Amino acid sequence: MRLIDHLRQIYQYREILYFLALKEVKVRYKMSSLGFLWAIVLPFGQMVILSFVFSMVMRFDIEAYPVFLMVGLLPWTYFSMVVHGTIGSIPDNANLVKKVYFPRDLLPIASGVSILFDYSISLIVLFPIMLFFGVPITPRILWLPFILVLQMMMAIGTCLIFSGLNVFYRDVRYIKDLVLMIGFYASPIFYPITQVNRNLSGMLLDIYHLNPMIGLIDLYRSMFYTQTIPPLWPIVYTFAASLALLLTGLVLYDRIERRFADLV
Amino acid sequence: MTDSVITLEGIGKQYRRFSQNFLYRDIVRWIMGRRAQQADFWALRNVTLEVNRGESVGIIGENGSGKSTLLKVLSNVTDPTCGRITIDGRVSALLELGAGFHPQLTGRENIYLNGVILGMPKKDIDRLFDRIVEFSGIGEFIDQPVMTYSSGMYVRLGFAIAIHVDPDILIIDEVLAVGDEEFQRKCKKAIHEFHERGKTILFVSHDLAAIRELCTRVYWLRKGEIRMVGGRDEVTFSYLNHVSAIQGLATLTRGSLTLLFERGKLILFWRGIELTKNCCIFTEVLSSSNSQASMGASWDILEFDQTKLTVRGAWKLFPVEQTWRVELLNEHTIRWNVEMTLPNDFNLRSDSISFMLTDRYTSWFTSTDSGSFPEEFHDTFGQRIIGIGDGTPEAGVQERILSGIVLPSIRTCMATPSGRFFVQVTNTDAKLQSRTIQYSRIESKDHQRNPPICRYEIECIIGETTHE
Repeated sequence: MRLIDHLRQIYQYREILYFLALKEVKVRYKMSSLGFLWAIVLPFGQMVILSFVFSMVMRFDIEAYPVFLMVGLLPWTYFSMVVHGTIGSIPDNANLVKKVYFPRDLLPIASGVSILFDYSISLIVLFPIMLFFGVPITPRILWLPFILVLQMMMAIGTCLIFSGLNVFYRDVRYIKDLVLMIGFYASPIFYPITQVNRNLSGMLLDIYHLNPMIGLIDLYRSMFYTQTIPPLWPIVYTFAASLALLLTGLVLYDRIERRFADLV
Repeated sequence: MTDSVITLEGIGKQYRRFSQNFLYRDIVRWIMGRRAQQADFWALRNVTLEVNRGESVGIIGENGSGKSTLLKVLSNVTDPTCGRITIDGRVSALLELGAGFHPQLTGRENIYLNGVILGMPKKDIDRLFDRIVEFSGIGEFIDQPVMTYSSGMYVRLGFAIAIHVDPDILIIDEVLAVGDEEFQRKCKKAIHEFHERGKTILFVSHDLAAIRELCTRVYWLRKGEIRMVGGRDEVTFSYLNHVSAIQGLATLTRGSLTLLFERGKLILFWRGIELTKNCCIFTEVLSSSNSQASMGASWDILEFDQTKLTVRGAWKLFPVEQTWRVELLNEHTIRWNVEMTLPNDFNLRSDSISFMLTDRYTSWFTSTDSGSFPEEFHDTFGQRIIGIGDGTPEAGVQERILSGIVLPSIRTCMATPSGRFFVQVTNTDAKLQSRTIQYSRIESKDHQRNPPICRYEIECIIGETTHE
């Protein structure tokens, strides 16, 4: 099967993946004087301002709101950073794409992997905040590897589709901005899912639940915030949807990557 | 030597004239079920090419002739629209000036990144790392970001990585034109060594000198098709003729003899083989403080037909003008008349006429003396005087028959000198590696005023089997 050949090639070129991801991390923080401290400051700042708006201005009555918020922001920020940061992967590396052969997916995938670095820093920042608000750290943290796989499948699948199509249609960049903007409000990041289930009904609620991010945020919340077991079906759905996104992205690249050199 | 590593059969590559796609147009087309209708053009058409193991093959062509498309097809980054391609072995391309380098990463980091991208496993890079750094001559700067490097350092590092990737087939695309002389020599040496290990080289360039130096067989690509294929001398000669015709350079031909005028120098061919080298045939003017060769002057072609040429050049450093009348009297004889106009107050120290000939010639003569050129070129700058002719200024090189080709004898003499000239036969230094015959005006000791116009005439006789 072509897809299996393609995956085998990616595996064969895995060293390129490693060094490309390393490059991304280094380049991102090397030239700024605060270096990777920015990876702490940015999510922290986002958490502070959103906490201010929703718990003090809007008066959301949620216990330990900053933790609630930050737990929801973790997967979303990873997702949006990956999709946002890889959209131009192919044209930005035109000089390589035109000269050397390697599976083109490695370029966006490497960015996706490199953003795990920023993600882990945010994760580390989360723990003292949890302690501060008296939210216990439970053994459920052991779910994290599985959750990470899920999260990367979703983000990388999506970024492959966007960055691949972006080579052909520059309009895709704006579609991506639109999708990310809608995604932020249509995911239970700064509000609880229970509120959605209470206030929406019928088709609108069904459409809302099509968002695979919901299952992922559910998992995060039950791992780091609530002590409840999350409902199973949203998670199964999220897994199926993420796998579908990833496979679509890979098949797309397999079909179109040989034309990139002529287009960038 | 008959097993081929690269075989292209009837390769064609079609491009849409508008590479920009429009989403709405494609959606409409998709919904309406119509096929794309776009003006197409063929970047490559019916290209058939074969490269044998251990061969070094050149590809020449003007800009837009399809060279870079062909390279893309060969390095497997794009599929041809039609045709069959077989490549046996690992291909690696020498990237353009630091393409693939990230300016903010250090040299060390870029070596790893570039190395793996070009197909070198990490453990090989670990092993070869020191050799790569040494070859590049980057030294202690290796841990500095490459954006602090000079462009020469960029290229040196890029080349050092590429040559250590050790592919079966190396594609070299123009890159050698940059970097300093010494590094260029190092590159050429590395390429020769690579070639001697039985590896295959594909060299794409419009630098004919480099093609002639590195390749045995040459393909000439024109408008996406192969216009000519053959030995390097034959193909580069036809190509040069073609290009010069387009650029308004002048080519004089009579039988086996061809003389090309190119911006202040004359290039001499016999049966398609270039007899000159480097600066070829040129003049030079020396004042008390400065000197400038005719290549540095700006030239106009005044008159030009099949066998006669009149050009005028204005020196940029001095208010000096030269008018050259060059005529091919017959298949063997060039008459070259130089007329130099000087302003009254100009203090001409000397002027000279030089013939830089290919180092394939091995023996020289003057009117009184003869001998062989030393085999070694000296590394020191400057020239080594081998012989000085007395009396009639006359000098030349003896005919030489190599496998398959004949280098005809060349005899030059100063026919009507105004003022006294002496001739010297020299080897250049190791950088230029050519044989030189140079006529120089004997310096006037009494600082007398120069005549406002100097005329002299040189005759150059090619292909006489003996001289008296």
